[in-house]
Amino acid sequence: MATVKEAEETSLAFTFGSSVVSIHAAAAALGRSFESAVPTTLLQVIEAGPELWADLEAFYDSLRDCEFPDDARGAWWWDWDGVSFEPPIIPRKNPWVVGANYYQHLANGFARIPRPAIAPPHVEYFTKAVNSIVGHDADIVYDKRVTRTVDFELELAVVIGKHGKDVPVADAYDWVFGYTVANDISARELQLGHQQYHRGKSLDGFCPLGPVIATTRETGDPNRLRMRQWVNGELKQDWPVGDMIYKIDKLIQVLSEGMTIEPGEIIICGTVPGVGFEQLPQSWLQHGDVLEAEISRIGLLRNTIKMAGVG
Amino acid sequence: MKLVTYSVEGRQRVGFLLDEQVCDLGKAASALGFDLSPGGDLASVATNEYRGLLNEIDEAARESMQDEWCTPLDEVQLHAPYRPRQNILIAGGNTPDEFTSQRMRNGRPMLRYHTKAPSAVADPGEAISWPRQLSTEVHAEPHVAVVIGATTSYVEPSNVMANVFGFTVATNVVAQDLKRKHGQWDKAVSLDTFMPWGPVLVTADEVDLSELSCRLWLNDRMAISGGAESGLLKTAEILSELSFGMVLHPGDVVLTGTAESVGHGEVPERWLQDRDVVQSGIEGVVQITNPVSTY
Repeated sequence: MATVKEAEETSLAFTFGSSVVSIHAAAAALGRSFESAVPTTLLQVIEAGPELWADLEAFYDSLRDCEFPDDARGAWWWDWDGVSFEPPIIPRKNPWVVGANYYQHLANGFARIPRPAIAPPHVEYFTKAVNSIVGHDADIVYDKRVTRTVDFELELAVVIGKHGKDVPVADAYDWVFGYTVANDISARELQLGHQQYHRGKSLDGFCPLGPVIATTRETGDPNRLRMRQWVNGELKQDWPVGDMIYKIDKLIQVLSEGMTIEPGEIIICGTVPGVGFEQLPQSWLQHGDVLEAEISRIGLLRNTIKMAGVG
Repeated sequence: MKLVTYSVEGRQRVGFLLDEQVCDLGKAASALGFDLSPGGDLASVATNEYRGLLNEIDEAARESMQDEWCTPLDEVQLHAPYRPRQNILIAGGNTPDEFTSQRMRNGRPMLRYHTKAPSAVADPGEAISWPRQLSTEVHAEPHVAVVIGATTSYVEPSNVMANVFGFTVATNVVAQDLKRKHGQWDKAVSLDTFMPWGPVLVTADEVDLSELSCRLWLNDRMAISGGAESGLLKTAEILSELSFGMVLHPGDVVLTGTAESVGHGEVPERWLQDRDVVQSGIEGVVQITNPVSTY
């Protein structure tokens, strides 16, 4: 599912290959009604709970094998390139991000600032500001007065489906609504200089999400997915999602200890080898760089880096 | 104006304080002929866009207070002002004794900015509560909570205070052992009930922070006390720095630091225990009291 904008109007949408279907417009055109009204944001859909999800899933299935009529193009469905993608969801608290959660990333990243390449003793959670969330195809504009060390980090983002506290690890996957792609854009000198990572991770535009949220039914076991990131067409990150030190169920369990997790809450699971910080010499993103971050069965999130005041 | 979120007869409302009365903002506004209906929560009117109007309502209400829209303060239940729409920002390590632990940039200490989840918000009187097996080293700090009133992006310190809507107090509850365990601090300060704040949100025109103390009492004994502007960076410097690269929106909340780091002024450190009572306050402006209850 996605949140798209066409002719200044925001719609909740299904995506099928290269077609995008407005849920509200398609339901109206096809005379499909729902047990309860479909809200206008994906956050509200998630908050509405599993009965609505099942109803929407049935509608999705009924459209899956349809030939969309040409005369309805632009009315209730569009080509992928004919719409712009908003962030699929704006959560009610900051997305959580897990630091150093893949062994090889640890080894690469910290070889330069001597620290043993072993698993961190506990999960490291920081957050990215809600204000920093942008969607597919958004420009990420940095200001060189603030940072000159912008880096990319492809990560799997887990979208929580229901309230929970002290969630048992054995049941933790029951709390997942779906998954999306995140690029944990980082201003390295701020991340490390402030010691707490929040500011270096939360500059405007530094949390691209999307383009879609794939429900658990669509992704299957997320640990079997593959993640890849290209910068200007060159493959920089290519790794199995499932190689996490702390797996998704553990991340949910530990996060929910003493703290209520909520529908729409996002947990971003850590990045894999290949980021600019690990290179010798270190390399940073520049004006005009195009990032393409992809996770199989979810989608490809594309963003362009811009420097303020250029072009 | 002194704004509150309160409830009478189980219904939550937005109001303002006049002497010992709480006035329903929506009803007062319409009775006095102003065009303002607080549709949602307090955050929906706590913006600089409404500040002039709010002050006019405040003045008009003072002259003609009416029973239909006022309730004696002791007959209402006060709540936290609102749940912010993203995490609360905290200027970590903004105390002189933390100076040597900070890195420097452009001649200034780089504070340890971190955040607290809005799900941690607690009402006055609500128990600060956490599982004993999760943390045994919980302490509380009094902070000035700054409520942003206007979209703030790349604003210099000399201008940034004009974008503040108002101030209140927050008790920043922190699990020190979880800070060490997780390395990054956000989870350690985000347990449910770890953010008592308010209840009174005072508009910026009524407060001069440089004159005020921010204090914490533990079981009626003063444990932490310091000037509200005695940190390494002043409020204006913190807000300006954050606004460089991180847009702040109306309703966003920034905690500007505490007078002392840990231990409630005792050596060895004194951690919160069951049946403690914690009170944070900004002298003469606002205070909030919460009991402690572990489970």
